[in-house]
Amino acid sequence: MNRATLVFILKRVAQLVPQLLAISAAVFVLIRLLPGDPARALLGPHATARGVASLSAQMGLNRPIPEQYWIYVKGILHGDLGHSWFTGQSVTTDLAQRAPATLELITYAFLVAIVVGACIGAVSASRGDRGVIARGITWYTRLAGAFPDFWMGLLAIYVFFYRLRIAPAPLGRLGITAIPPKTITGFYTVDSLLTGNFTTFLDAAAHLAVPVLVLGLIVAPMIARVTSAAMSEVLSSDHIRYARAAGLGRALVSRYAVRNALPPVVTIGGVLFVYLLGGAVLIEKVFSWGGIGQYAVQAVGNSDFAAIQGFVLLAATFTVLVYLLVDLIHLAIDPRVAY
Amino acid sequence: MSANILLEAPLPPQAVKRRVVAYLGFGLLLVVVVLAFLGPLFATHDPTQANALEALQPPGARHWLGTNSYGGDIFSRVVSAARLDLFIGFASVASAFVIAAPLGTAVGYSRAWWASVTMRAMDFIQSFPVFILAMAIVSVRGPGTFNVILVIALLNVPIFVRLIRAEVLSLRERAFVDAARAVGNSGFRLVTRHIMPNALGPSIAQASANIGWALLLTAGLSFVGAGIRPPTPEWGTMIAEGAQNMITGEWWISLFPGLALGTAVLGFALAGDALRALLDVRARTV
Repeated sequence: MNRATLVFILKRVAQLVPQLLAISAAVFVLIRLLPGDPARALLGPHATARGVASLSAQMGLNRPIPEQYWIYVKGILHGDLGHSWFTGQSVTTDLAQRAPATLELITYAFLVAIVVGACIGAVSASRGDRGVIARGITWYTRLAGAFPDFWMGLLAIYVFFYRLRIAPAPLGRLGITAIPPKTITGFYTVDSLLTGNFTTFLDAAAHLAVPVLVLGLIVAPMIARVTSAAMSEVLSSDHIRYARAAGLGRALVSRYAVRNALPPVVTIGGVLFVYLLGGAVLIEKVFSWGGIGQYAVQAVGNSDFAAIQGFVLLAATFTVLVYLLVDLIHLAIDPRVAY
Repeated sequence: MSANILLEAPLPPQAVKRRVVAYLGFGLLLVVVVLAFLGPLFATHDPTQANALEALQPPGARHWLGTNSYGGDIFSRVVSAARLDLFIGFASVASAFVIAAPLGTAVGYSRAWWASVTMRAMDFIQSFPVFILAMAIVSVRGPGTFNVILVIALLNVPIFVRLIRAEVLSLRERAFVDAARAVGNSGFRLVTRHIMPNALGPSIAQASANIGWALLLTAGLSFVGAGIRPPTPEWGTMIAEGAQNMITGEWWISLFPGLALGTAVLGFALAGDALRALLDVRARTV
């Protein structure tokens, strides 16, 4: 690793600090300063003025705004996101318990989207702009973008669970009789294999299949479009034409092409991974997944502000980290970005 | 707009196919808009009426698209929902447009420090996962039509600001702007009369697609209980009403509102594509 690369990485990582500060401030503003009184919202329309005032005092809402912000940031730095009024636990504990479920779901969905999307995109790029395949992709993209993902999840439940009876009931990550594996990574599929519990593995995989396919296949066209555009551009570039003219084999030329088409695909991959977290909120509700998405939906239903705030904070931090990762992968693919 | 002349011009074979898609888009839109205005006239039942005796009826002669768990007529609810959903879509995108048109123009024209600060603020809004941000804001402010419109407008502003700014950045350097400046137009007049009207084209095409997007967001918010509350007919709320019934095989409760929603979104997206092609002087192919 040379100096410029190191400086680039350090600079990029250092950017995290102001980014995270800005996020914490924005989430604070969002929850505390928007018109509307959390205490009143929590107590409902029939609350007395006195009840609202007393709850406000309890929540610290009557202190000066800068002081509230200071207390809040101090809390975050200590890993304290407040208490959920609904589960009675600390929000940090709640989120930590549920995050692996969501991460497992969106990771597999991401893999499906990448594999399917990249294959379709590459085929489309090699066949040109006007074929049946190109038009098929256009319509696939349009339809996948037009119909709501949670609705497709419901249809999938009807077809695969109720009609065909090949999918398990959409009630979480495991069947009632299955025993959750010992937590190592938090991914049931991985942990069950590591502990040699093959029955649980099959059960976890079966529960994952439908939500993962729904999420993955809905976002796959985004990858396909970018891959196709990037591949077409690279394939018609001078250096690939030169490589062909020089008589290099097809496999080698393809390898050059893929490597040069990667950066935009990595970027859209990052955007997609973040997007999947938002999509997971709805899909988790449909499949009673028990991840942080469903937790957030419950929090919304119960006006559980500490939980909502914690979830938004986590989601935004996740976003920032994914984008950092994207930049570092860019660096690995194309070292020129450091200069 | 010279749309008719363009549509009547002879077209190459590929363009004919695109024209069909454009007609399909506008056709779907027409259906949805007619429903929004006249929907309640088509309703065969009162859309908010509960009728326990006729709960969970499959589609048939009496209830064309069946009934939900409390006996509400799905067909009447689907056609009645178009008005509210379209209102939310139009109102949120129009509000965003009204805010973004002057803001985007100013940010594109000005080279002052606040222009880049504004753009960083837009970046920041867009860096949050969209649905999560919307859900959080509505949950703090409470569900309801007005709050849904407000949130969706907020999420749309950066998209339009970015588009308009990009146009203004290129218009600013054009000869006709220099000419207008040379003959003595004031800066304000230059921006409002010469630059802004020319910068709005791409955003108008984008607005159509964004109304579709707004419909999807509204439905998603309603689905998690942060949007429109039942029994008000709204497509997302209606999909939520039937969610539990999918497991027990009553598919019609969620299926039809989802189909209506998806069709409307598709219509807006196709119409947006067609508008983009029409408004783009460099590539008029529709």
